[in-house]
This record gives sequence, structure tokens and C-alpha cells, in this order.
Amino acid sequence: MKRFAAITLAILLCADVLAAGEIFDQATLDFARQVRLDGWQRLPVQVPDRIAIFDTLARQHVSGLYGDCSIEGTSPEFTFLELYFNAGAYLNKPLVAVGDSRLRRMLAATIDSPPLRQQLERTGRLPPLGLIQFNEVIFLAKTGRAVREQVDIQQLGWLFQSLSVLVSQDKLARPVQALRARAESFILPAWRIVPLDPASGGYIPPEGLFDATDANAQKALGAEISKWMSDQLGNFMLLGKAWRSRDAGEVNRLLEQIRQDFAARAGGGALPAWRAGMELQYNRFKGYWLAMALLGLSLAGAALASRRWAARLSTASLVAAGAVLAASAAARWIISHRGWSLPPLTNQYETLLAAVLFAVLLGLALGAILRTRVPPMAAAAFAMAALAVLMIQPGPVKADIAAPGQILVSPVLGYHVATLMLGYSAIAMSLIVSLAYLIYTGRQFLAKPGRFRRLENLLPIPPRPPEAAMPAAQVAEASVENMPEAQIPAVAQECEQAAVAEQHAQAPSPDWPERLDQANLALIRIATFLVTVGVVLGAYWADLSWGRWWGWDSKETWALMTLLVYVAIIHLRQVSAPSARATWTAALSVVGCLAMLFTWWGVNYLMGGLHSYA
Amino acid sequence: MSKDRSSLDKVIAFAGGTWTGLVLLGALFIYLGAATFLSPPEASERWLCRFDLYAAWPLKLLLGLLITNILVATLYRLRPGLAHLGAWLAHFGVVVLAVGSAMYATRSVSGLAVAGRPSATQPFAAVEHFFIKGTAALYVWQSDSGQVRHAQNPLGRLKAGTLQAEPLQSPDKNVSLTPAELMPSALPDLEWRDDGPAVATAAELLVRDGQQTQGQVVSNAYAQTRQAERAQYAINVLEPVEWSSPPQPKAVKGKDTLTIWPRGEYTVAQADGGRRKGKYQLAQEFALTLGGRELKLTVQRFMERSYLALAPRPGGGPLARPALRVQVKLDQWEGPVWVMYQPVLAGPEAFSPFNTLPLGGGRALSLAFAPQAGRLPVPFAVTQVQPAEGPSGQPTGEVISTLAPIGPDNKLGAPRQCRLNQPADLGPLRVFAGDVNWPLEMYYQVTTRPGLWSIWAGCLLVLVALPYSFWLKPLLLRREMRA
Repeated sequence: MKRFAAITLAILLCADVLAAGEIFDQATLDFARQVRLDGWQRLPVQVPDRIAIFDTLARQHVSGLYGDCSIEGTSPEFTFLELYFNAGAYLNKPLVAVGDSRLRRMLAATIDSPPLRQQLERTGRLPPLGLIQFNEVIFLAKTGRAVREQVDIQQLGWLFQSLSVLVSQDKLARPVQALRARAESFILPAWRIVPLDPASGGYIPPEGLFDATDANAQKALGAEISKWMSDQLGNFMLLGKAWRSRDAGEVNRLLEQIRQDFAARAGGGALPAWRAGMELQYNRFKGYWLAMALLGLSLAGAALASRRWAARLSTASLVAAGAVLAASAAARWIISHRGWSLPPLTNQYETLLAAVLFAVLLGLALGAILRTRVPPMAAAAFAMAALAVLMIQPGPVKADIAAPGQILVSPVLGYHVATLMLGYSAIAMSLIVSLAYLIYTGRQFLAKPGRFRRLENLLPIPPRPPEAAMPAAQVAEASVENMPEAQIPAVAQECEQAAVAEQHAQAPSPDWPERLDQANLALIRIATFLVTVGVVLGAYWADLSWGRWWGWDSKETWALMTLLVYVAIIHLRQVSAPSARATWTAALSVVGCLAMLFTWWGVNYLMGGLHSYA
Repeated sequence: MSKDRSSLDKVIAFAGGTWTGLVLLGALFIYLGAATFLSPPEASERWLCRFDLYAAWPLKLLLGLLITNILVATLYRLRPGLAHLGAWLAHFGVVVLAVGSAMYATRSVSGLAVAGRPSATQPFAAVEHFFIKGTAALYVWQSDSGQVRHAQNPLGRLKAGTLQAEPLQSPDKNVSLTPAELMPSALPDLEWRDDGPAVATAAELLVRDGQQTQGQVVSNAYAQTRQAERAQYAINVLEPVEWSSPPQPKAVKGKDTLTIWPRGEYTVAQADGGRRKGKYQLAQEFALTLGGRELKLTVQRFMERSYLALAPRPGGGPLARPALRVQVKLDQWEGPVWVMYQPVLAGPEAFSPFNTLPLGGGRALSLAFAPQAGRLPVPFAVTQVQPAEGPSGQPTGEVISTLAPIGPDNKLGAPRQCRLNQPADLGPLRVFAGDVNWPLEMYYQVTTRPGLWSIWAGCLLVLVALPYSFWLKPLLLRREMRA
């Protein structure tokens, strides 16, 4: 045991030692260990719609470029500065992630250079050279961040040629543009350590930093701040020089000097310390692992719900998971600095986070109202699945707190999206309940009894009477034939009493399928109402923003189709036979949920249109 | 008689049956699902001849049948009362919504209005016209010694293929134009002819690249031809023939650029900035290094009167666009001219590039597609445009326009502001902020919205009906039963 612990500790210690990889060499990693960037993490920087901290900027930039906020174990801050000051060294390294799988395939098929093709196939990334314009490479050289020898013209030509061919294909034009934009950010990242202008109290235009020596910019900014910015530019140039020569002592001195100058300049006005601290904590710890663990605990507790403590643990865990998720969403809302009228519901990541939170709240509320564990269990199951998607961030789902398009800056957006997300979370929970119903009832048709015994053990199903056992009334009836005539009236009375008693015994507690159906109907009603409200609010917003209330956009059409499924379910329950009612409901709920998923995600990936943001 | 009643009852029972409604809902679901896949966003590329599934008769029929089903079911099967109040409200809500939608779809007018000015210091011109959304017109401009006249030819939905349409209006009585063929998906190509108005000059080359030999047509007018698509190396090393004045070959960044001159000379502008010259003779092969490749070229011929021709391409694909072939009759000459629909600006409301025919003697005829132009019910002027700021005071990139209704009988009062998510109402007209080509052009979407009140009323009825049916009615009925 001790030996095992020692080995584990050794592995953990080794993991902390940075190892040279495809991007950074050992000298760079040694340098990374010597550079002190702790103070820079909270440095206020200007991103397009707000003042953020440097940690956020570095994470967003590196993950936008590389697909991960850390390269080979270095901190995002170090990676950002290294790629900025020493850009030339990485022009030929596989840095730019090709996110679109179709584009990756097409590039692999069209790139003439075998080494480049193998690199793409192995890492899913391409070097910046060739993705950026030639004049941008020259810009790097002019600013001292690259030297001519680092530019492989042939590689530039290969990639440029390949992309020129692919961009003419309609379906690849957008991914190619996105790839080029990503690569361009390598040249000039959103590098704006600009505090507020003390004279006007407003933003300094981002270009101001680079135009500080320009006479017009000086006039616009004021002489005092222009001089200050010129001084800072000088410091940055020195920092770049020291960085490239790997002079860790000088780098640390300049980093500290710049940090102090900026802190003195900005004061607390640019970004209050509590908000900077909150943003740093949010970047590191979004609470999803904790929420996931709590949700798992809640599901496990519900599975053992025959014991009172387990049921309480299940509810408490779900409440705690909801609190963690709510805190995470609230932190994101505060950090985004968009104002109270614009909640964090402006992209797929945020809508999914909202749906998870709403599902937990809805599950708890319905569980309390209907006095059944079905909705909380469904909520926990859905929330776990959705959290996994948030943590993996597939495709265009990005955790960045980015500025929404101007068309989205509307108070109606919050109501429209929030209502729909509530409805969608109800639909997702309904799917889980429906599947549970279909599996439970479907097992009777399966040849092998006991195949679902484990499920039966997991779900809190009340024990069913053995099929062979005959009700008391029937037993009595069966033995009447062999009975003396004198005893028949007494036995008949006994039979009648037994039948009534049996009926009374069954009536008060509906069985498990009925409970599932009851919960399903409650969820379907909530979903139908909320999706209807969401669609109507969307129509109102479209009338206000796009000048038409309905435009047969793919997302609009699929939202209507989702609604049609639930309208059909509600009507079908009126006319279908009572025995088939719950089965129809469950089966169509699955269809409805698939339609909802296509509305929410499928349309964005397959069709595009006006609603591609959400 | 009783038999007739029974049949009528059966018809009513069928028309208002829940199962009938469910079947219609299913059919609607399938139809709409198919429509989203069959009407991709690039539908604008099939302009003029597209079959809009959302405006087609099957959808109208389905919706009509569904509304009939709802009406019959409500009036004949649902007794008025507390139990069916929710169903009544919801069903009538849907009917009112459908009536509003029909009014909106048939009577609403919307389109794009453009306010322009010659320079940033001058005021914007008054906006009196707009381009009507969903319409198409072929515009013909005639320029003659500085004078420009134009004619607008509205085109309905045309059937793809050979057309037998009426002649188009032409600003010049000596020029007759007749639409002859509509190609839903065509690809530009270069051909040549010896008569008629010259559009461009071009050269036909034979390029031998190793073992491979290909014909190439290069021109100073149409760089993106089907040859460019077929031969990958050609678009990298061969550039269009230059006839520009002054006759200097223009180097293309990162490429060797070949320029063929009519006087038997060629020039290569190298990617590294160097230039080479050489001589050639028609139909005789000469060696050339282009883009790092050793090529053998033969200039087969010049096409002094080349013109843009189009070949149909049924499968669509890159560069393919819808195109209309117009038969032009000009003095003694008669020949085809193709007008391609390739929007210059984003969206289907933009102009296509002009196809200009020089007629000689300083005259020229230009053809282009654009939506029909209509007169705005309320003309307006853009009096001020200022940048908008975000909640933290940062510039958002958006602009706020101040619009003032104009005209002698203006009773609409003071100017009002218009920005994204905040349209301006000018009488029956609602103006929405659109794209900005700062500082010279501002685009506004203008629309009238008849029947919208009915749409909102229908939505409200449905929104009241649902919570009543789902949650309030069961409570009320339970209380009634207990009583």
C-alpha cells in the first residue's frame, strides 16, 4: 500500500515537471518556470465589450488559437506572452486548431506537402504560416517578433494554395474564414491593457495604444495619457527584448513595473478587486465537477430511496447542485458586465448552462408538488448529461464570455431564451421519464425475464404480486364447484367481501407506470406552455428586430414542429384508449424531444440561418 | 332525409374529428421538416425560378384543412362551458392567428431602402423609393452622351428553361430585348464571336505541363471561368490577359503573372518583383517558367469580341448562379446576352453586376437584376447618424439614425430615432436599422404590418387558454365535483 502511494506521489510530482513537446522546447519550459506572472493574472484588460482580467484574455486567446487554454502544461498567461513576443519561433509549429472536421478532411486531401499533411492528421492543427497573409508576416518581422529565417515561404505557399481552392466551395467558405481569423489572432491578439481614461471616465479606443505616437491620436487622447502610453510602449518593447533573450530577471522586473504602473493608473475604477477575484476563481473553477458529483449523489440516493436518509440525501444533493450551478451562472452574469437586462443566454454554452439549472429547479419543484421522485431523478440525469457537454465543449460550444451581436442586445432576448430553455429542460426531463416508462413496460415483451432485473433493482419499483398467485375472491370462486350447497351463500358473501377488500387495497397507491405517466404529463404540459410562450416572445422580438414576426427560418420552423408534437400528444390523450394512452404519450415524447434537440442544436450545425448563435 | 342527416353528420364528424386533426398535424410536421431541408439558406441562388415550399399550395392546403378541422371541432363538438373553455380559447386563438397571418402575408409590403450621400460632409439624399422584398426585375440602362435612361421590367416567377415571354421594355427604341431562357444554375464561360458588340478581349492558350496538355482561355474581364475551376495550377500561375491602360502587367502577390500582348509579346511579372519579357508567334510553342513549373505554351488565337457566355450546370456548386438569357436585337445584329444573378451585396435584395453592351458612338446598354422599386408611402430623410455606446460607454459599432418624415402633407410630426431593436414608426411604415456602409450609405428595412394585431390577439388567446386547460380547469372541476 505504501509502495502504491509512493508511486502515485512520484507520478504526480513528475506531472508537475514540464516536458518539452511539439510546441515548446526545454529552454522555453525552463524559462516558463522562472517567469513570475502571478500578479498579471488580475491585471485589467480591455476586451471588446468589457474590462476583463488578463487571465481571461490569455485563456480565451490560447484556447481560441490552440483549442486548449494550456499548451504543454504552461500557464495560459505565459503561453500568451510567449506566442506574442516570440511569434516567429512558432510560425511553423502546429498551433492553429482546425476545428471543423470536414475542413480538416478536405485540407488533408488537398495539401501537397506530406509533412504538413501528416502534422495535420496527427495533431488536428496547422502552423500559422500559410494561414496568414504575407504582409502580416512582414509585420511580425517589423515589430521584432520574427526574423526572416523563420519564414518558410514554401509552406506559406502550400497552405495558401490549398485554402484558396477550398474557400471557393460554398460549404467550406465559413470554416476557412474562421480558420484564417483564428490564425490572424496569432499575429495581433486582442492585446489591450488599457485602463480607463481619467479625464473622461470612458474607454480609450483600443487603437489608441498603438497610435499613441500619432499626432491625431495624441490630440484625441490628451497629451498626458499619450505620454504615459508612449512610456508603456517603451516598457513593452524592452519586455519583448528581454523575453526573447530569456533574461528571466529582467523580464520579472519589467513585468512587475508594468503591473504597478497599470494598477496605479487604473486604480480600482477599471475593475474592482472583488470582481477581478471572482473572475479569476470563475476561470479556474466553474463548479461543474462539484455539481456533477452532487448530481451523481442525488441519483444514487434516489435509487436507494426506500430508506428515508437516502431520499433526504438525494434531495439535499440536488438542491446543493442547483446552488452550485446557480452561483456559477450568477458569477458569469456579473463577470459579463452586460447589465441586468441581458442575462447570460446569448450563445450555446450559456443556454445549455441555463437549461441545466432550470431542469434542476423544475425537478425539485415538481417533485415537491407531485410528491414523487421521478422529476428530480429525471432532472439529475439530464443535468449530468448536459454538464458533460459543457465540460467537453464540442464544436462551436465555447465557454468564452464574448460580446453578443448587437442584434441580441435586447431585453426581450432574455425572456425569449429563458422561457425556451425552461421549456427545453422540461422536454429533456420528459424524455428521461418516457424512456423509463417504455423500458419498464417494454420488458414484458422481452423473452428473457430478468434482463432488466438490475434496472428494477435500481428504480424504486413497488413489489408486484406474483403472477401465479390468485386473488382471494378467485380462489374462493374456484372451490365453489366442490362445495356443499348449504355453504354456498356464506362463501359467496366471503368472496364479495374479499373482492371489495382487494379493490380497496390496490386503489390508494398508483403503480410505477402510472406515476411515470403522471410525471410525464405534468412535464409535457409545462413544456408545451413554456415553448409556446417562448415562440410568441421570439415572434415579438423578430418583429422588433428583423421587421417580420415570422420568417420560416429553420430554427423557427423546427420550434413550431416541436410544438406540433406536443399539441398532438395532448390531443392524442383525449382519443386514445386508456390502456394505450401512456404508451403513446411516452413514444411521442421521445419524438418531441428529438425535434427539440434538432431545433436547439441540429439546426445550428446542419442548416445555419439567423439563429445560429443559440 | 334522415339518411342525408346521417351523411352530413358523418362528414362533420370526419372534418372535425380529433384523429383527422392529428393526421393533419402529422402531415404538417413531415411537410415542414422536409421544407427545412429542401429550402436551404442558399435558396436565393435559385432566384426567379425557385419553388418556395413555404409559399406553395400544399402548405396552404394543409393549413386550410387544419383550420377547418379546428373550427368544425370547436363549433360542433365542444359544448360551451367551463369544461371546454380552454379548448374554445385555444382553438379560436389559432383561428384568429391564422386570419392575421393571412392578412399579413397577402397585404404586407416590405423591402430595403437606401439613403446615400456623395461624401461624408454632405447630407443624405431623401429616401423616396425602396426595393420590394421577394420581387425581381430586370433593369435596363441606356447611356448616351452622359444621359442615362432606364426601364424596369418586373419579372414574375419564371419557369426554368426556354421562355416565350413578351419583349422587355427598353429605353432605346432601336434595341429590342426578349427573355429567351432561364437557367437555374449556370456557370460562366468564355466564348467568342466575330460580330456584335465586343464585351471583352481574351486569348486562347494551349498549356503543356509535363505530360498534361490543356486549353485555357484567359481574359481581362472574367477571371473566374470554368477553366479556373478545372485547372488548379492555372489560377495560380496564369492571370487574365491585361489590356489595361497604361499597359503595365500587374503583379499578383505571391504569384507569377503572365500577360499576353496582342503585338506578339508576353510579360511575366514575378512574385519576387522581377519582370521578364519574351516574344511569341501565334500557334507556335514557347517555353516559360511560371510558379516554379516549366510550362510549354501556345497562343492559339485572340478573341477580339469575346463575351460572357453561360453554360447550364444542373448540380449547382461553386461559382454557379441563376442566369437569364436575353435575346438582343440591335440594328442589323441579333444575339444573346446573359445576365447573371450574383448579388453584389449580401442578401437577395442586392443588385447583380451589370452586363454592359457597348453599342458604339458613345452609347452603351447595361442590364442587371434587382428587386422591383416601389414608392414609399412616407418618404423620409436621414438627418443625423451617430455612433452608439454600450453599457460601459464603449463604442458598439452600431449607429443611431434620426429619421424625419418629409413631404408637403407631412402630419407625422417630429423626427425619431432608429437603431437595432428600436425601429421608428412613420405612419403606416415601420423603419428598421439595417446594414451600414459608413459614411456613405445607410440601409433601412421598411415594412407595413397589416393584421399584426390579429396575430398578437390570437397568440394571447392561446397563452391564456393553455394554463387554464392545464392547471386551472382541473382545479375548478375538482372543486365542482366536491361540491
